[in-house]
Amino acid sequence: MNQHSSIKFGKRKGFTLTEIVVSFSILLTLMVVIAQTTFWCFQERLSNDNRFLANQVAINILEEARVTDWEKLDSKWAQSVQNLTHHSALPFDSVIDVKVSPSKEFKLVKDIVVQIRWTSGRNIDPREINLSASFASRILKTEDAK
Amino acid sequence: MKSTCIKPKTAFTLIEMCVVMALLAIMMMIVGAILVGVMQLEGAEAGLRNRNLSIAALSNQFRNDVRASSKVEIIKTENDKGTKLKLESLLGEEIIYTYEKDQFLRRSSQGGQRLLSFSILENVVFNLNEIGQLVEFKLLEKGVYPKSPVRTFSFRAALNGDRK
Repeated sequence: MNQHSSIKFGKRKGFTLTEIVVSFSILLTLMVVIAQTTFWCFQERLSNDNRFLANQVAINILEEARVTDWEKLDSKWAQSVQNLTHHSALPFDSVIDVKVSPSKEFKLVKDIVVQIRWTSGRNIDPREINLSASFASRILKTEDAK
Repeated sequence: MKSTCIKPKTAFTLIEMCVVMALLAIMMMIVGAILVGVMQLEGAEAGLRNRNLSIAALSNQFRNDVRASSKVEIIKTENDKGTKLKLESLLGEEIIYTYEKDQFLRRSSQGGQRLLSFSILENVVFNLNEIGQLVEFKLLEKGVYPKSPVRTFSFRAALNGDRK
């Protein structure tokens, strides 16, 4: 028998501070990850909703342009359709920017660009949409027409 | 001569076991509640995604129908409880959108009848602008949750008529 072998078992009374800190850290990390995922989920839905509504408003403006006399498609008309009160479904911080300009390529054609911007949402999401359309004069003009 | 004294390791006491099981139960409850919440949220998100997709499809259908039509008529049903939109295309096809008793239907003289949506709509309103060439389809959608607000969508489309 080994006379020098003396084994001592320490009495363990509870968790050490390190163990508690480590376990709480793991729990906290898990909860933060779940909370972050949930938050992103909400943000993504909000962002999708905003994009969808902005797209619909831009299409509505271009449809209005279709029924407006070609001659009246000018900056004054653009100002009139930019009024946000006509588009209550949009996010409250939206800005509608409509530009009418003569086409650089073709005569008797006007280019209309509708841009809708908003500030709410994450920086990584696109927070503006751009739709453009070209409108030709519906009256044929010839060189010798009076 | 030294005597070796090895103290035998005792098992967990009943109190220790109870405390550990109680802690585990609490942790399981917390994690379970979080998971249930996340799953409910995911379900609601999927519902909203489906709604948005169906509304987008509805708006496309409406715009295509109006763009192919040359005549339009908005008819109020009895007691103003419903609305009808009657479209007549250049090829003579007649399309009628009806909203009555929570059902939104599209009837075509060629393609029969199709249910567009049910129970998610609060109301449907059709408007015609002053010159009678721009048709607006306003859709009020019920909220996903009982207290969530009604969402309003507005879809406009120009008729295929004579224009300057």
